Amino acid sequence: MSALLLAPPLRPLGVGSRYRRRMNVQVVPDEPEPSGLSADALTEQHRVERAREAAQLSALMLEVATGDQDAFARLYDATSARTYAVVWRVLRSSDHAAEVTQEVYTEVWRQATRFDPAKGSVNGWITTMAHRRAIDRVRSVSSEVARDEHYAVSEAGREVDQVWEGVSQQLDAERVRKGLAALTPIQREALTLAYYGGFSQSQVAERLKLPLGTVKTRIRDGLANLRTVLGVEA
Amino acid sequence: MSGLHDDAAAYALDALDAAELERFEEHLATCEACRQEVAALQDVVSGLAMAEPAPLPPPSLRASVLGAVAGVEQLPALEERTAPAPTLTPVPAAPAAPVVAAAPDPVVDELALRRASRRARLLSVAVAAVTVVALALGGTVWGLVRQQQDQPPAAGPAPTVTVPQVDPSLLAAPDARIYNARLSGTDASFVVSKSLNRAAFVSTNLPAPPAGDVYHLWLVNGVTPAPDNTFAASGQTAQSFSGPVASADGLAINLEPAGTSPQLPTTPVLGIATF
Repeated sequence: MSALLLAPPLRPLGVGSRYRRRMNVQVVPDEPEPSGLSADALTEQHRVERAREAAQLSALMLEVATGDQDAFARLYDATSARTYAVVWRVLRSSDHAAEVTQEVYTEVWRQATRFDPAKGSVNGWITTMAHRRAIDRVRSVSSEVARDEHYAVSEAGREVDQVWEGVSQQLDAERVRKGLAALTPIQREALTLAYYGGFSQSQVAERLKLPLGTVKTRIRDGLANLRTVLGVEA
Repeated sequence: MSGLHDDAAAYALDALDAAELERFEEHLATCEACRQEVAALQDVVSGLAMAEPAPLPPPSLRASVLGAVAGVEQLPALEERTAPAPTLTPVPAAPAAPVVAAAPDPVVDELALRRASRRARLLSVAVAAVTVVALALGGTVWGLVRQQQDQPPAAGPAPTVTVPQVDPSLLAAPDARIYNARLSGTDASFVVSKSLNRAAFVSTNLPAPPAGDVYHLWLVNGVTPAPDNTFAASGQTAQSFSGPVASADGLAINLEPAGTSPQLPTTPVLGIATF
């Protein structure tokens, strides 16, 4: 068996990353295209790029499922920035985030044989697992008060230097930002409280002093709108 | 939409409390529509992590993670389905008999599933092993081979029946191998002979492509898929590749809008095998 199906090579992050983040602005899809490419063409290119990355990751998972540790290292390199970001955004603690991320990858390794490319993307599979574990952790270790403080810190913003490698990821990040910005304030608040704050929809309803049914609707509509913006196929 | 369907979004966000979660997961076990909805929404949700900058994982984490899994055993692959005992189905010898119509329901070979389920497990195919191939593919290939032997190519197929064909010389090649194509809910494989520089996709129960779509085959070279043949068949299917198989590192199949010729897949890959 060869191990030739590789994840997209990712450069080590960190050095010069702030600079590259500023560079991202240049690839916002709906800015005027100096090259003459229409926004539609760029979106199509983006879609192709994303599908290619997804196919590469699926192929890599199949390698991992044979017990190939080199493939697993490549999978880690290709996905760990996103995974760690998911966990960190919920836990707001680098120690907790590192621990949970390690647990997640141990599960990815154990369950690699169960990954089914027909049922979803590798990124979706891993980040779902990561988010669930982070939520479990935050619900078990944090009191309500501590979570309020976590959330307050997150709202205050922090100096962090994550960047997304690859045009496709940069475009995705940009589109998620735009998609969130296009939601109604309550939709956005409900989504971010649930996803980043780790609150259940009932807790979100309490915090926003809204009926549970209203929060459910806002969450559903908010995700549906984001899905449209991101062009995720059913 | 019932209330339960409505919880798919909150489920994808992990925003159900314990009681709601239990109720929804019970529902999920029986509702294919919700499973699909959840999978799509989980992809959306995974994008949320990227909306704002977050710190990078500490460099030391990589070594800890790789060290941690070194001693961890992977779970055995799930049996995809329970299979009846394999049977070799007699195939009508009359040249005009349509194999498609005469074939029984697809028979799944348990042995082949066990061997292939973990990923592209190899099944060497020598001339004497054509029977094994027939078992693995539920009689399809056996039928196809018989069909071709009984009906030389020069004679051509019966005019009103399109019979999928796998050339016996591909199956008989000393280095011919079968790779599970891992199509969900479908028995499908890639048959590959690098020495002949040829490969075919075969299935006993391929679903018809959705209206407006056709199946696209891809040769995967290194990390890059290259387009190969397209087809719109369903049920018993055999479709050959035309590109340079000898130098490829894998094969894949997906759906693309009919009439398009994308150079890279624009939709998720449905089945893939790597050599």
